[in-house]
Amino acid sequence: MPYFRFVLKRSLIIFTIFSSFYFTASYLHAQTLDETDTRALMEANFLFQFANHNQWPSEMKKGRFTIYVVSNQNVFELFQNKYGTQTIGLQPIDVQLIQDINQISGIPHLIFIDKSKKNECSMAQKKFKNKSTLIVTNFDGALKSGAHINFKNINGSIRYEVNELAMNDEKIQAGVKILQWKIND
Amino acid sequence: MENQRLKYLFLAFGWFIGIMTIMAQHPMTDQIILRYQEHQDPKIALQEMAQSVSKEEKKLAFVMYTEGFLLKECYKKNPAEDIKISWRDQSIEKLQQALLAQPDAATRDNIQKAQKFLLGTYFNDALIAARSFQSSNEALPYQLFEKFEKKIQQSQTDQPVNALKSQFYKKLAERHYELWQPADTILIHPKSCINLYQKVLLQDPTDCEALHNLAVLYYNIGVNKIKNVPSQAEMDQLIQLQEEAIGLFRQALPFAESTFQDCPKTLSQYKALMYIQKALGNDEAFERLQTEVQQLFPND
Repeated sequence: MPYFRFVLKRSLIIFTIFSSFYFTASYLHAQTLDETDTRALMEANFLFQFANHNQWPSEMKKGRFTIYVVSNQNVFELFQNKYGTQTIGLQPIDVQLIQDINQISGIPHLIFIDKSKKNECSMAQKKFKNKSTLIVTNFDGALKSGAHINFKNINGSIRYEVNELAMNDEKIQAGVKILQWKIND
Repeated sequence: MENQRLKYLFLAFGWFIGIMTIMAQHPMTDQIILRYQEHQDPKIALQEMAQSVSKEEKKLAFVMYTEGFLLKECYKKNPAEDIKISWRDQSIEKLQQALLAQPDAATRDNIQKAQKFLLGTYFNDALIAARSFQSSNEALPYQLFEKFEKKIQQSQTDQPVNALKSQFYKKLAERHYELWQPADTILIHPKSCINLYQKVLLQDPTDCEALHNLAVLYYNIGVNKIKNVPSQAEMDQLIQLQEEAIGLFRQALPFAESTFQDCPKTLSQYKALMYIQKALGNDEAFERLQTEVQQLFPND
């Protein structure tokens, strides 16, 4: 039966192509990368710790707890999403994103100045001197420019240095936990 | 001249006799085949073979091959019923018997192709189970892969078992990754995922998919740790979780770097290394990679 053999053969060629497809159907399957800005998220976590564990003078413990984030969209958004509905003591948090210090109205409790706006640090220090405003930054040499707390990269981890004297001048009492985990020069 | 003609005539006659002899070896089978070509029902053809093909004829390689072929066709027509009737198993066995009965070259070739097809279906079963298992039936894909391996042994065919095993592990890993819930802090599925990709790397330390996915996996587990920091966490807990995450980012780094050695350059590969460097606070490396990405993938 040559014709049948031909049919068998033809069918098998088709099946072989079919099966070969499965045998070699190996494609690169890349897992999806989580693109969350982890540095910004950690900085946001620390900002909440600073707000929660430091003590402001009694006249600052009224109304809303105001935080300004200067020029860091990710820190602002991540803080807002995670801590936007929290309170500091009885004070509801009010966090805002600005691009320069002049946009601040009133006296804030905390200002976070990103390294992309280093120059704003000394301006903020002058503008809010003796107003009990905590200035937090994330660039080298920031404590000398008037920052009270500055984030540092220690072997990949975010840690922070504290200018306790400058905080005392602003009548902000550094929390025990804050001082326990600060890095020393 | 006359002798030459006689010689050709004699050869042609010999060839004709030979063909007729081959055809006459399995007359009933040939008739069944003719009918099968019309009705296309392999079950009927198998029944006819069981009833009318002689015992002697059934021992012939081509007849056994035909039976194996028809059993395979039964499976193809209704694969869901194979669990009860095991057409594939029977087909593999019949084809193996046909091979042992010293078939001619063409039949041998067809038998091997049929075997390859059937083995492919066992492998596919394992792959499908690997891509769709639930926590309740996690053992099923392994059982099906074992069956596939057993069938390879049984049919004595040459298959790239290690490469196929790697492919199977990758599919399992993909499924484990899908089953990973962000709230899962015990990390059952991500750990399984890591083990499977490590097994792939044991077979081939340059496997781009495994290297990249391990980098992403370690990195994502680290990111998840930071994302899951409770909003009321104390400073101690925050620092501890950060350290754990950084440890994972460090584990991710060499895998991400390895993909730059032998793998074709892709945006996802760059992104993985960029984000890992950024998470480790290596801003210079991050910015250098970002510049490269802008040059290499200007439209992405």
